Amino acid sequence: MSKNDDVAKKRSNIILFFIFNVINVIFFTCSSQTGLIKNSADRPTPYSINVPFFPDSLNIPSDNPMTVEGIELGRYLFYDGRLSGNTNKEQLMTCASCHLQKHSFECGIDHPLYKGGRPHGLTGEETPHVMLPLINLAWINEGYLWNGMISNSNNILGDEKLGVPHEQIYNHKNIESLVWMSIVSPHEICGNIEKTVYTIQNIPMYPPMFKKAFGSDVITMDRINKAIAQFVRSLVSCNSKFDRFMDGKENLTESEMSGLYLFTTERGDCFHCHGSPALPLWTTNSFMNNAKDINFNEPEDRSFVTKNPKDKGKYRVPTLRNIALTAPYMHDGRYKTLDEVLEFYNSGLKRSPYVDPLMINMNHGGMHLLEKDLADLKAFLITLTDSSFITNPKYSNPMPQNEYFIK
Amino acid sequence: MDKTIKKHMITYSKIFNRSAFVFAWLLSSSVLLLAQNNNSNYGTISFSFIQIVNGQSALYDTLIYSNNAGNRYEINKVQYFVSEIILHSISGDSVRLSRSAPCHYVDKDYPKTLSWSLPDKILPGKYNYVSFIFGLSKDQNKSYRFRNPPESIMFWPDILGGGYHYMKINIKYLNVNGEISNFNCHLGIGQTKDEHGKIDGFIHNCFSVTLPASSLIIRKGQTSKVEIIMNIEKWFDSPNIIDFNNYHGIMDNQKAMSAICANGKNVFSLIVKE
Repeated sequence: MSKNDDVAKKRSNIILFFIFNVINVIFFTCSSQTGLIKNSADRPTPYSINVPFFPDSLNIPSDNPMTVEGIELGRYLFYDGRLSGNTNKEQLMTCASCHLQKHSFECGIDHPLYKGGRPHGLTGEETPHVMLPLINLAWINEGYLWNGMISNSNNILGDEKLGVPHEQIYNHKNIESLVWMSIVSPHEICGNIEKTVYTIQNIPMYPPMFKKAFGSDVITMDRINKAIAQFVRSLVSCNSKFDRFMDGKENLTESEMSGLYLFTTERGDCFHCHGSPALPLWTTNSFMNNAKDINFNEPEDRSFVTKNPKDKGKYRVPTLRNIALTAPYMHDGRYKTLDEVLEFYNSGLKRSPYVDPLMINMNHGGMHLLEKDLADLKAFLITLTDSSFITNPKYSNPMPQNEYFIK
Repeated sequence: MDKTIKKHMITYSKIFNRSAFVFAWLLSSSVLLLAQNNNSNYGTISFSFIQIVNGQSALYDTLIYSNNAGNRYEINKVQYFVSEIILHSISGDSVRLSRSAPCHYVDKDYPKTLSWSLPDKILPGKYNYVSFIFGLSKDQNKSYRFRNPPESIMFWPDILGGGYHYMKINIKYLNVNGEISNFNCHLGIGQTKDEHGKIDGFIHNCFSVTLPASSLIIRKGQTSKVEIIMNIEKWFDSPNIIDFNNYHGIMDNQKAMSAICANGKNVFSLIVKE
């Protein structure tokens, strides 16, 4: 063998060595990924929410990431009356019994069972407050319900009175918590967790769905909580006429534009609490006393949570998205129409030390706008209605023909 | 052939691994050494934001204060932006800090906003002034730049000029009849109006604040601590006396905002902490 051949051989060996190395690197890199890919058939498909003009601070617990299969399962349970633990047609109840898509997942003022928009449970006991819409809840980091009681800072576990054990899965922190609470609460299903879990476990279609969503066909309350919470977080409303106007795809009428002007200037002064195009959830999600009353004796206001007496009469500032669909209004549903609400803000504000200082119109009893101005404000508010949300098949009853599913 | 390749592979692999390790070690050590040398030649600075009334720490939600107009009042919220902080040295040089993120939000209800540690490496020496823009400077005050609360909640409606509130101080006071009333000291872009009251132009009301800081020394490898103090009562007292009874919201009242901005030049003071 010549010297040149020897050099050539060495070179080819070096090249071969590097090729082996490259193959090695690729192999090891891929094998670590194939750890994920290998079981991909068993793993649920990740689902992400992204609305470019919404905040990016989502409230999704790390132990309940959203998945396509989890959301689908949650949707079935949301509409299945057997979530109550009952198979007797007279005693079916589930989330969709009160949360109607056509009313932005509130019960609405025209519900045949819940007169005046005030829902009650299977026992007939009324809920402490009227409903809040189930939309864009993934963006609420300040606590859920009218008083913000359900929040990540709440360390209570279980419910002694209702026999729910002090266990981590029965926390009071997030949307997951609201599911088990709805099952045991006397003003909702008034059932018990074991009965619900047993009933769902014995419906043949569910174990495979749980297997797809959570990798196991064993049904637990924790998994029911998580599936329904995933579905609720997927209820995103971001396609109102006003959104399309901001996107340059639709125009507002003169009256709607005038309403926007009133809304976002000191004349109406609605924007400080209810947002603007720059705060597109149309709420600050804060808790405020909006000058409805002089005396505050309602036991479940914000002060119930904070234990601060200065928080009397404070409630969540609700989103104005789909506000035209969500009568009655205020925490107690005292106003039946948007006109009544506007009239309250125009001339019915009551002075008290508890009123939020942002309510500067309290000084003079209201906005004191003309009738035409109020009509313009209303016209603007209606532009926040998202018709595509209330007709979106992704959010609708998945088995309308099934007798156990709530119509 | 197989045996030769295997043998070579083992040899090369050993040589390669050893050389790669030595090379990586030398490289990382040099980088760390250089970085250490560079860092030790400079100092850094951090600011704390403190709110006081009449020389004492502000006490919120309690009706105990009086202004020069004779209004008894309480303070409920204090939220504001500062931007474009500059250190001015004795030699006349100036160092503009945090060029990449030159604004900071302060909120008495969010403790983490009450301090701002800046990443800038600053040349050691004496600096005799600190200046900043109160609110967001014209360049920084762009609508929709903040997506998340709490900063996003400071938005200033586009119809009124857009961008963000420079400041919100929310107040309750007793009116002339002794009734509890609300006053919002909200500053931001002002408006000019035509004879029909229609907005026809905007005024950037942000203003520069320059504070003496004779004892501010930046030392090598150390972080200097500076307190920026807002004397809240001064917004309402001098040179313009603000009687809350005469105002409502001041957001679309340029005359009122202008008077309060004039007072704002006397509102801040500075303490260098050792």
